[in-house]
Amino acid sequence: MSAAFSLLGLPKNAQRKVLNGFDAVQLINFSLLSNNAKTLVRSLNFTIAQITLCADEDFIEIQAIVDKEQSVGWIFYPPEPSSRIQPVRGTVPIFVPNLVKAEKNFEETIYFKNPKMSISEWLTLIIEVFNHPPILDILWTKPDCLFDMKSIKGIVERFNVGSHFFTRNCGVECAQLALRTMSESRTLAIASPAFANPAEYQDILILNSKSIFIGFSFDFDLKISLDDILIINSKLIHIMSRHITDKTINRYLKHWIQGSNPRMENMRLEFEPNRIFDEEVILRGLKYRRARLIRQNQPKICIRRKDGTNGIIVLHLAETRCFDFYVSN
Amino acid sequence: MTSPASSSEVKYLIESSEGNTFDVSGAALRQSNTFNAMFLNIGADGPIPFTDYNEATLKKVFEYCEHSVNEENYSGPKHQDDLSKWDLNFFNEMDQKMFIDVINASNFLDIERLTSYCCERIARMLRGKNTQEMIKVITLPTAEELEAKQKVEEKKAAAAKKVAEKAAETAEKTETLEELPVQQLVQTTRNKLTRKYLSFSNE
Repeated sequence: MSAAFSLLGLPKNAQRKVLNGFDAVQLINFSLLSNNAKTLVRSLNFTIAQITLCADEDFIEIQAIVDKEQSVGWIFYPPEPSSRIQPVRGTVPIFVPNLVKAEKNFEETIYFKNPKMSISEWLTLIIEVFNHPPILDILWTKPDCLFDMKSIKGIVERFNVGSHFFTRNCGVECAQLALRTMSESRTLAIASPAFANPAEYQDILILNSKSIFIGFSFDFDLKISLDDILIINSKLIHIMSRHITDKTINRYLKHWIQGSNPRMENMRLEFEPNRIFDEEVILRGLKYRRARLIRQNQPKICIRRKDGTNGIIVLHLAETRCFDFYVSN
Repeated sequence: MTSPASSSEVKYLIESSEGNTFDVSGAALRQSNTFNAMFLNIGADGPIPFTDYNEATLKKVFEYCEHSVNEENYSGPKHQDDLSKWDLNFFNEMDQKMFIDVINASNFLDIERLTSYCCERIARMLRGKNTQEMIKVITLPTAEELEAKQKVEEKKAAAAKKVAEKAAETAEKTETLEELPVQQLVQTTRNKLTRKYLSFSNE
């Protein structure tokens, strides 16, 4: 076929089938054609699961996870620098991109010139096209951020930050600065080796995010103490560390009974597969009763704190060794 | 001349917009869900009028149906490499006008396989193209065309939103009642990270 034809001239069912054959990159490129094209795509109610912004060293990236099989990314490159002077880290404003690389599943790529849209406008477009709630996650991967934190805040101020992921080589100071600038988020996920010593970032632990995840691999040798755990102020807590002993768990439970961690609803401590729990040590000095979880027919241990709140302990001894503790009012 | 018999030998007369009639086998015609819904069980006393479409288009559509009579049930668009030589020739020999007419007729006749292949073909033409390249292939709908469409969609979206809100309410409730919500969240969060960023590079 040579001449251009009108997609809207096709029956609605056919339009849907054509657009259904598009991947997320095509849908965005098509939406860039005009407002009408964008409206057409929006009307088909496509969705994506997650949007993540990553302000990296030399480029800025927006990742979107469409579903289990498809993820796409738009990588934005800065204009050519006017001088070769090394920029002062943490002071560089977010640029209006020059070139865009769109990639699907980190492989198929298309390069094109940015149609003079700012990063914020790109985020808005992606969120609109995929009928996504105005929530995005931010990924921090460098020891210190090249960009001015206020400039990053400016990009996301129209949206809610769902999660801050501190990963790869992200440094503690970078995370602290990010959270001082953008403190409101539902989830904090800490997965960078720089965070091995929680005593260095207790100001992060006390933030009242809904969930906190510390450690995602045992390569990250998290040395978390009882005091660190007790000051965490999140509802859902997940910690992966080989350094939490049965005695520490016992002491934690005694503190909880006395009223510590009042906001916590659910905690999981994850250990290496060869971990053997000593129940006697974990429960030493506690008043408890044994029962079974009805659904999983799994043994549970019930304790009660002074204010009458019930706590349930489940020790998972299967593939992953976990101490699960949840509060039931 | 026609009856609701199931034998593939039965021929049906089809009438086009020009008033011309031509034969189509029952087996080919039964690939059309529109035909199945309208005529299969009651039969037709005379030519079946598909008078919104011209003879050439209808013949092209039923040529495809005759060819794919013995193919397995449709299970989704084929990849370009999986199309047979016959399929490729069938599509390649159509000019643009015929191609669009075939999509329209196939859509009306509800021939799932043919409609999907045609649409997949359009999607494929636009694959790997940036905005500037896309504009060479498709023209854009006008504001008026979209306005009418939008109104219908908005009504549907409002209804869908209500359902989604209700589902979200239920989901939130379920999350609170689940014994271990943190397990799910850990998995979700881990999934988010593992694809690319849960590696500690030594940059």
